[in-house]
Amino acid sequence: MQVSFILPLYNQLELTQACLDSLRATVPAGLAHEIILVDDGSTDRTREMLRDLGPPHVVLLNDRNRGFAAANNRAARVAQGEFLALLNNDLVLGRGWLDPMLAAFAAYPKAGVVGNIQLDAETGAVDHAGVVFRNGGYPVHYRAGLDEIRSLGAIAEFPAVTAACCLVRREWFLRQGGFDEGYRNGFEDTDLCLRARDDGFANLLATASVVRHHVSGSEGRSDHEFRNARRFLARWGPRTAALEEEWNLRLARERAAAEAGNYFAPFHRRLGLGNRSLRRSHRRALNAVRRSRAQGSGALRIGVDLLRLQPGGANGGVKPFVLSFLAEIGRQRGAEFNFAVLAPASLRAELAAVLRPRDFVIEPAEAPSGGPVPIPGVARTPRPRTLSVHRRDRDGWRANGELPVSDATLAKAGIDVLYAPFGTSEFLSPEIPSVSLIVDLLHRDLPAALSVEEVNHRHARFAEVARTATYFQCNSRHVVERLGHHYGVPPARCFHTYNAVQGRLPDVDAPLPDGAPHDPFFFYPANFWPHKNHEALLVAYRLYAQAAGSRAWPLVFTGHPDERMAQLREMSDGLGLAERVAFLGHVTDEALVALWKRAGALVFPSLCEGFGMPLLEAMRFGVPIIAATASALPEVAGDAALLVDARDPQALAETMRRVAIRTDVKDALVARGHARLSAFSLELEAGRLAHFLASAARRQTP
Amino acid sequence: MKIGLDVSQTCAERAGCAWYADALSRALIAEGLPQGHTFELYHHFGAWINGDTRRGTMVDDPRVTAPLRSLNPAAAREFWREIATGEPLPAKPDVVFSFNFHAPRMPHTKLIYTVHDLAFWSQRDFATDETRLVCQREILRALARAAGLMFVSRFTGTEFELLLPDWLRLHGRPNCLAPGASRFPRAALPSSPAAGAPWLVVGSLEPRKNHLAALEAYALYHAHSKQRRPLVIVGGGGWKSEAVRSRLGELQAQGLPVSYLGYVSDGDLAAHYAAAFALLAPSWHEGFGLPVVEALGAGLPVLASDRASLPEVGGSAALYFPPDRADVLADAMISLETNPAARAQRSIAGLERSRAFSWAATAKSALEFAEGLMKGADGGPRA
Repeated sequence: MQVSFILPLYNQLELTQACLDSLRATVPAGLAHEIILVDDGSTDRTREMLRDLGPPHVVLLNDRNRGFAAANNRAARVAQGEFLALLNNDLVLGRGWLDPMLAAFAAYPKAGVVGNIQLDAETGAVDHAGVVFRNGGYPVHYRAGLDEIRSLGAIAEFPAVTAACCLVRREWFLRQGGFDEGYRNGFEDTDLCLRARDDGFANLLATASVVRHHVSGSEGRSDHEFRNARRFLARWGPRTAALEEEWNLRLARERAAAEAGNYFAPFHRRLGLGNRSLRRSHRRALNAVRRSRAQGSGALRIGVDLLRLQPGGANGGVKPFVLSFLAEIGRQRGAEFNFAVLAPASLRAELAAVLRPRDFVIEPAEAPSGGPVPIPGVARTPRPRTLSVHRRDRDGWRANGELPVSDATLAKAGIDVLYAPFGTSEFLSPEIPSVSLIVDLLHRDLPAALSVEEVNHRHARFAEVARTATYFQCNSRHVVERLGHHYGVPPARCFHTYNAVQGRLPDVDAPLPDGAPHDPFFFYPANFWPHKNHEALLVAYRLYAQAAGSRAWPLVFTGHPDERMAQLREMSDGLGLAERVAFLGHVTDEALVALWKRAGALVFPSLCEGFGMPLLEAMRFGVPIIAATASALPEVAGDAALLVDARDPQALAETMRRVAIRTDVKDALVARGHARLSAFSLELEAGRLAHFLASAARRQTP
Repeated sequence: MKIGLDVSQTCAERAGCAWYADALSRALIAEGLPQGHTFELYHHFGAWINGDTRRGTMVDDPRVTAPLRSLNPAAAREFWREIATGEPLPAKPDVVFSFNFHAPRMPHTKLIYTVHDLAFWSQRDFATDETRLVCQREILRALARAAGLMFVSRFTGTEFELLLPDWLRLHGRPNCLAPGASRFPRAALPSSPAAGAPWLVVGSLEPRKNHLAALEAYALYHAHSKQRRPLVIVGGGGWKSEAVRSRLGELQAQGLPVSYLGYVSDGDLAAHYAAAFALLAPSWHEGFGLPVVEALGAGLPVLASDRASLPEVGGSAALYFPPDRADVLADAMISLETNPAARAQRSIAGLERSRAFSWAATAKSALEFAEGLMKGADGGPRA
């Protein structure tokens, strides 16, 4: 079977019949096909009509109106064709409309969603010739005269196309999970197209295929516009805004060229699409990119500055996050990405698990200065003077020479893009595109948690990186918002990736670490930083334990064993909790798993988090969650946590009591946690980072 | 005894806790010198380091020294680092009173820790994050380190018990009540206000002080009063005061006689008490409430919030209203204004009530408390 035509139906029987007639009249002879009709709860005589249909028709009935996305998805699941032709029921299909669309797939193996030109059935004017972005990343139909559009060539790439009439590969569509049913009759198609781009595909317009569309015909289109737009912009806003910017830039460039050449270019030419030679060079560039991606040639060298990373757990959640993402990206992109990781030599063993043959480590020749994160004043950490390069091969590491440090170090190392997981890097330079990871804005959101020197230092660095970085990888949408709030960074330069690294922990049966209690316990894995709010938790825990008496669960802390851990232990002892509160220090991953498997609940009273990785680990290991209402925690926890004002020890204590004694509450939280976990996919999140790294390296709009 | 006194907060612009530190330190010295005690004043204390110590409390007597007053911040930080690691304080004091919420480690001396309030936990939105992070850390340190605790009011003791139930009993930690008092001499006669005597509010502009209620009540009062006395607000700049300032501006734009005078000196404050018609104290929360006891001592009627420590301080002399009921406050203002006999009665009752509080009495019981700690075998910090 080659093509499955899919038509969702909702009333408008006459239009449906006209559409079906035009379809039957235009299906190419000999095409193996089926016509799947999904009645989406019609209340007119549509169902009577459907009753009489036999092969090649397949009829699906929805008991109530479930919307465009759900109807198409249902049809796609039963479809047999290699391609799905998604059609609105108010189309009138013209002769020869299908072949140019199929041809696009034949010509471009990386075709994602293929659309066509749609004329307004009443006026005959062009209503759709691709989708572009306007007004801050809002999708709108691109419209121009037929001749102008056709001068783009038989096949033109657009950011997106409408699904009123489009073709996709069934296998890909299903793998994507189809349309997002969170939208209601709008934006589903643009969302799908952007996912196609993310997946390495191009959305194409087959300009030889023209159909007519009763534009205002469909019911219930604008009812949900606001909610749909909000959902869409929340997910894609930064990206579509960037696409819009790129489009405008191209427009400006073309206008300048036109003025210099003193001739008047038609509108579409000014977009850089019309001028024949420009068009050719544009297409050449596009094809080169496609070829290189398809063939794995033209590998990109990704520099990663991990010079501030330390062995052990002193860096908190950043290390597992970065290492898991790098490993996943390496797996996804294979030889297309070549890593060159700047890191202290003491980390080579940990990096060995992540890097692949042909990847590099670049290490300071002298011993790293070491010490924890605080750096006095706003002075820069001194750059190492020379770097020694080692190349991974199958047997191990091979010395690959020395690299003198200068402003051109990265260029000399052949680095195409610098990834800075600590936000800033001594090696940032305007010539090399860069992606900076921003995990939180603690120094602005809760400056009291840091020393004045550290606040000033971070502020100076943020102000600098806000000017220089190409893109910002943010830990959550919350962080995107805070970065804009404090530093005016536009969302177009940001993307968010969730730390979906819950899978990094091995699912092993290991013994509990020394000093851990065996009964269910409250668990707080966090370094002993002031914003983690251990004090309020200690007071809350004492309130809880006083009330619960001998049945009280113990409390377990893990985290880098620094001076503050000793101070907190002193406080815990002063509260009379020495017998009930365990300070385990830094534990191995195996020991951490053992703790997760026996923990009764996660308590996460932090006052400021860009993400909150323990939340996902708790979800994975079936541990109910109590978390603060502050910062990114509600965004991450969703409905899978009891949220509480963690500044309030009494509220915290009451919540702990509830979770400890109410089995039903606990079970519900665990079930919601399991469900919530599916929202966090390392493949997807790391894929997004890889996409932006590649875009920055190739100096493309994402 | 050799007694150390934390006067670190008195070096900056002073508010409640700083006034408390200044007044109680002076009273302790006045009470203690005749008994043969000597004193050491600390102008930096624990993590509280001042840029400039010149305005800090000083007492001119050879038996009172100020060893840290001339230290610059870096040297002061280094000094307290050494104390924490086991160096003794210069005069090797027997006890040290902390008034600034900080509980530095002092292995060779007994720490007496003043608990002003626990609003940073009980009233989250009325404390800054900075205050909360410092206070919650330091009070827990105090539980581990202090030989004894002083509560500035029974209310603060109750709040402590609510958040740390049974801690005092289980740990057998000595504690005492050390209430504030007026810094000004008690008025000899009940106050007799001038014709245009203003309503007075004393307190820095921060959400906890609930100036908005005073302004709302005043607007209602102004609409109904024949006399239309002005409203005068004194107090430091505080924080998160935008709403109060903008409301103030609105009322002024409407021609209402409302003024904010900012921080005023000690002497000026006494003059404001003497000249006012009555004190409005609408706070959501107070650990003690110095302005109330000072107003009572000046013979001023007090209209106070019925929350936290205020009823304990005002006793039966003050009139109370719920801090979320500006209308009730406005009614009380009108009725006080239209009933001179009642006002006179309040004034007398206030003077009487203020006798319950004196810095000398607080200093005396604080000294006795310290002596008890020195004698008692179980007063020291737990290992």
